[in-house]
Amino acid sequence: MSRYREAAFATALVVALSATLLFLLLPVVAIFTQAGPGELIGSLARPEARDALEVSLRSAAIAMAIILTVGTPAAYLLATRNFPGRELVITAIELPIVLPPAVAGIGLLAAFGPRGALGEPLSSLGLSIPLTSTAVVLAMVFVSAPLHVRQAQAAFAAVDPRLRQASHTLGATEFRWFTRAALPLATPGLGAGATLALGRSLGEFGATLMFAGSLQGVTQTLPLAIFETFTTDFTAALGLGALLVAVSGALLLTVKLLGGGIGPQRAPGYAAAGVRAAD
Amino acid sequence: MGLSVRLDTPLPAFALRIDERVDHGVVAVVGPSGAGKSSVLEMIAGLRRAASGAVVNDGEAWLDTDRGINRPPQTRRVGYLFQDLALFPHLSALENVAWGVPGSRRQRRARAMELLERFGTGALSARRADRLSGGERRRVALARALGRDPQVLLLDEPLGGLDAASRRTAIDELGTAVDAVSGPTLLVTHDFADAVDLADEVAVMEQGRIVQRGTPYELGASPASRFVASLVGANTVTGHAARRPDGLTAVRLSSGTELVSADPGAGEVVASIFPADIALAREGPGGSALNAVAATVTGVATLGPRTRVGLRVPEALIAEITTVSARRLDLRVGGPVTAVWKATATVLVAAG
Amino acid sequence: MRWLAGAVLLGLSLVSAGCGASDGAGRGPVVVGGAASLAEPLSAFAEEYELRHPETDVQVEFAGSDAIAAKIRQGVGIDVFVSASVELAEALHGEGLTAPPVSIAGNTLVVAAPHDSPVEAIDDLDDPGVRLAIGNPHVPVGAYARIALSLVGDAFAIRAMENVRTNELDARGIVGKVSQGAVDAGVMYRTDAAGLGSAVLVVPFAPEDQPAIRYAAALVTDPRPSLDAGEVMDELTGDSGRRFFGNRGFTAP
Repeated sequence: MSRYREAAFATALVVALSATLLFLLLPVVAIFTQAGPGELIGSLARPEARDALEVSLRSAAIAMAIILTVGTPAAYLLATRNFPGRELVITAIELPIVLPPAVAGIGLLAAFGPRGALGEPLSSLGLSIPLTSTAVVLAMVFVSAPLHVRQAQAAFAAVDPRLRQASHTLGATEFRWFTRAALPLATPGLGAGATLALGRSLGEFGATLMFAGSLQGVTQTLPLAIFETFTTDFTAALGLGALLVAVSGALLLTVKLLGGGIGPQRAPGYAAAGVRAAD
Repeated sequence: MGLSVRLDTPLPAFALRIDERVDHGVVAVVGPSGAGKSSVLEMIAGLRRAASGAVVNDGEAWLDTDRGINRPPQTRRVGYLFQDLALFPHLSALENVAWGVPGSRRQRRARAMELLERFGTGALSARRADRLSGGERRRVALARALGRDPQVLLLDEPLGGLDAASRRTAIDELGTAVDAVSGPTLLVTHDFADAVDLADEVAVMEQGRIVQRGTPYELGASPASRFVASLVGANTVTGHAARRPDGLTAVRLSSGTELVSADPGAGEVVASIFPADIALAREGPGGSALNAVAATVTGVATLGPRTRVGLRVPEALIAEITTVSARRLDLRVGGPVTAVWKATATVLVAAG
Repeated sequence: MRWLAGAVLLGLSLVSAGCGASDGAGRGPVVVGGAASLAEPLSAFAEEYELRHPETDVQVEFAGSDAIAAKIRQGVGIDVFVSASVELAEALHGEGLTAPPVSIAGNTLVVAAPHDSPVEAIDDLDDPGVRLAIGNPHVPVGAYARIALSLVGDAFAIRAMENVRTNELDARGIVGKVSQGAVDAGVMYRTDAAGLGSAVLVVPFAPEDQPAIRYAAALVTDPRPSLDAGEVMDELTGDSGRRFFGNRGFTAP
């Protein structure tokens, strides 16, 4: 009786995984079956596609640099110190994750727009942020940074606190501990966070459209170019879509490989389960 | 000279309240888990805040809440061996040891290598810590603890979880570490046997307080409480003491069984008898200076040349006899036997 | 592979049954896909239509006319297409996707500028440093803007186009950029500019520089339209429907 149940449960798990995989992969696979290598290469030949790819990659690179250098230490502080209001701070940082892109766009305008909270001081410095490449980067940072900070915080929290104590009793400064031990030990988790943030940055659409607009070679990112092309030329849009999938996939894979995110040592539990299932 | 530790601070279940000096040698703090032992080490090292107290080493205050002194762990010269060793898993053995060594990169590597070799692990210097075996990790951790030339050595359960074979090696290695430190060593353990093997002096800790301090022999010979007696491994039974005409003391147990002790005593007492002091015989010999108590065998466990025998008199006692004797007596669970020991082996402790 | 396709279809039908996307009786909602600039009149029309026909559920969605056309080309359940460009509607009809389009309203093009903007007249649009928002070339409001600018003058149009800071996806995007002061001026429909009220300065293009702006409605015929959709189409293009446009500043077709 319980053997049947065990078998049924195991089957259900496999079915659930298959369904998940199928559903998530189908649209991606469909892009590539409908847009063959010809369309992919053809889309790269279009100047607006090349411009959009360049804008996307350049903005995402700057956004990631900002997110990693500011977000990582911030996450470390959240993970290792307790202070009044810490939970509130964490919630506030995570808030953009659940915000719809339109709200993010409006919020960025309300903060940095000429009529916004920082509008006066910015314009007195001669700065106008909306509709510039800076705005593209800001939109990416706003929507992606929380993903990295959250993951990085979990990664730092998972580092054995005993190790930090050991470092202290050995006379090492907190800076040395952070750079030489906490960072390397949290690297897999940091890589995962960076991966999520990068994917979100490359895919950013709504907030970018509202805050940065769409101008070829300046603010038109790949997702914006895809939408604009979609209205007139579905095949070309498929080609651009395939390009974005290929570029994002390659970047994510690179980050994961560099961060040790993929590797046999990462999932011993699954390996063991696999052995048992094969019995 | 030496280390003085005065702490008065609340822990979740009780208050930690100790005031001890350790001038030299190795002092073991022994107590059950949760007695607050590790907290003492952490407060000495500055890893945990003490609400009130002072830690002074060689006249140098590391902590003095009255004077507002609380130096960070980095400036307290301690060598700390963590229970789980806490090696940096991503660094090599050499980098682990060099972590605490001051000086230039070259000096640090040279000193780290020297320390690794002192513990016979020079050949492992390049290996990552998470690729080392348990014994190798302990050696590297000891080498690392000596890296900053500590004035005090703190050991948290240094023999915890070791098998008999590794234990001997570990004791020698810990001796090497202790000798390398100019000041005293403080270790905590829940096992009195560890303390006997490692320490010159033992402080027994119960619920945040040191209840007795002395050499292992002193603790066994005159335990201050039933807790100490059972901690050092003695049988403990309670009874009512009364002086006998011959000057000895009779202890009547609640079951009616009567023991005899050479210690003076009256009223409620705890009688403490080491298992190894109890001999077993088929029939009781005569003699008023001897205890000869009829017992039932409840269990027999043989470990090499020694055999531990569970007895019921009907109070529970354990006797430890040679395996040869056990064979000769042909002990059976449920069978009768007579437990025999000298009156001087019944140590009386005030009850409570 | 066939079992796989079957499994996917089965799964999808379960999902759609759960969501009530099809009730089997063939009386689903009528989806009107309209140009973004028609949001107000079409919403009002749908609301009133439902009051008079409680059995019919009219859903309206708005985007750039080109985006709605693209959806229709992908067969995405839109029943009535209301385009800001007659040409676009004719193109779909030519592709056999809709019935012949019917003109329902017209509009004119203006420049809207926030009050602190250096732009006070059409002539200012090509001044160096002016930040301009227009529609992208595929969306009607953007195509009209390019025509109007070149009607003013070819050299003027080239200089003005260099001032463009954003090519918006639809008419609403231009309105948003102007209302937030993110640009100095936007080329938009008169009806959209009216919605911004007194916060902006509105300068219409001269009559001779106006492109011919005609809205057209067409019944989507691929897939075959429902009876309800036909009725909605009839009312929208009839006198009662046109009322909603005339009331809101749209011109006659």
